[in-house]
Amino acid sequence: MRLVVVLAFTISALSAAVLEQTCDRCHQKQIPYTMIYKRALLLYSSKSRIKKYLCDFLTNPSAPSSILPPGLKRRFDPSTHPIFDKATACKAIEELIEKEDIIKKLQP
Amino acid sequence: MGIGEYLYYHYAYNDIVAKEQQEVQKSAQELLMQLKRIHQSFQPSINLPKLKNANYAIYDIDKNYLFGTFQPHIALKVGFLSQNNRLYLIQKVQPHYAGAAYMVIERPFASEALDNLRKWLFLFSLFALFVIVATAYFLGKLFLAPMKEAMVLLDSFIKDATHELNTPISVILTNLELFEELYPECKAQELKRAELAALKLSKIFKNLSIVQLRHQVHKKVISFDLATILKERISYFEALAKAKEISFKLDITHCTIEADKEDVETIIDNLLSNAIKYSPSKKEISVSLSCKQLCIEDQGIGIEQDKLDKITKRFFRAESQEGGFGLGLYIVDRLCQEYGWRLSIISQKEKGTKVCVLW
Repeated sequence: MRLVVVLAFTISALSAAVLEQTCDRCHQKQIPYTMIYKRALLLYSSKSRIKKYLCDFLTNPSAPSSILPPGLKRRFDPSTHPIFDKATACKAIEELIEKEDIIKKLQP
Repeated sequence: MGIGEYLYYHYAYNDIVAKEQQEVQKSAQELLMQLKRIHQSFQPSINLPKLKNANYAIYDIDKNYLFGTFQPHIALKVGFLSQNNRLYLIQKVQPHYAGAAYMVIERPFASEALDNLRKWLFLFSLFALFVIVATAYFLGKLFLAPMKEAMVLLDSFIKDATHELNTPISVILTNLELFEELYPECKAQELKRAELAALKLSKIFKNLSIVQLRHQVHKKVISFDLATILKERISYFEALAKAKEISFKLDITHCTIEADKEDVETIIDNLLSNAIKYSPSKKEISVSLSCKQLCIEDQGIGIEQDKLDKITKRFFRAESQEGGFGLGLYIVDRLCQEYGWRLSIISQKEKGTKVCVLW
């Protein structure tokens, strides 16, 4: 039983670390994950589409593929964003979706 | 009235549906506001939206069910849908608050209002039908009253006239017979014509009395030889036939039947009278009697085929040029029916008519 709990904690810690390792490491201020997720939700609606568009952005960042509003696009130039490999990018996005999932917050 | 009811039903039905659709649209607006609230909330826990008198379901852009108070089994085709007494509104959500791309609102359809509408229309139809029937009955009675009164008066007149004619006709005929017996040497043509006219009058009287006073006559059914009666009646009509130079061809065998003698005389008289009346001059009338039937055939004007069915109807006359009331064959047919005999009429226009009574 202890072994299972320890393993689960380790896996969770490892997976939760993807966002921190890939994003928080470079961003000086805390990234507004909730805002980003809600922005993506407002535009793409489904989890699969959010994952697809955000993965595409992280593997090939550009101004047109960014979901930021035009003002922010000018302030934070998306083309200067580091390029991630697809697996890492998708893993980070999956983590974001899992963390911010609005449906999970709904209480009957 | 039916068209009016149909139009009213459609108008009322559409009105009910429009009201229901408005209610569903209100629910949709309310749900949209709640979705916006959810989307903008930063609370770790958010209450699931609730709608008054309606259920809802939220789908993402890939038509995956996200959340809601029910899960419908309908195609996500934008618009209103009425199914199984429930009204659905399927609407797109743009922008996708809380990831919602489609919302489905469900409300129970106003079946009670529709039932009430149908019930009232049915009751109205019954009431209207009752009013129409009552009005028709009243108007019919009102308009037919003078006609009915006239018919009663006519019947009464014929009855009275028939009764009053009896005595003078009998007096004329008796006196004519007496005159002939007292003065056998007198063979004046005027006297013969007077006798023929009196016989004709007597026949009319007899027919009218059969039609009008039948129920008052007591029948005396006896067994007798029909040949004797037939010969008597032929000799009775000889004067009339001679006036048109018509001859009789007889083929009579003795036959005993059971009936009222007067009824049989009436049948024979009417058939002979018709045969003479509708035969041109110098023709021949065949009279045959066997144990099965009595037939009288003339070479007269005949009857058209389409009129044969109606020829035994009361007051119906196939030929209006000759005099008469259209009662002869009606009386013959009625008497035949009383005795269970069959009346057969075969006729060809311009060739002649053969009337047979079969028993």
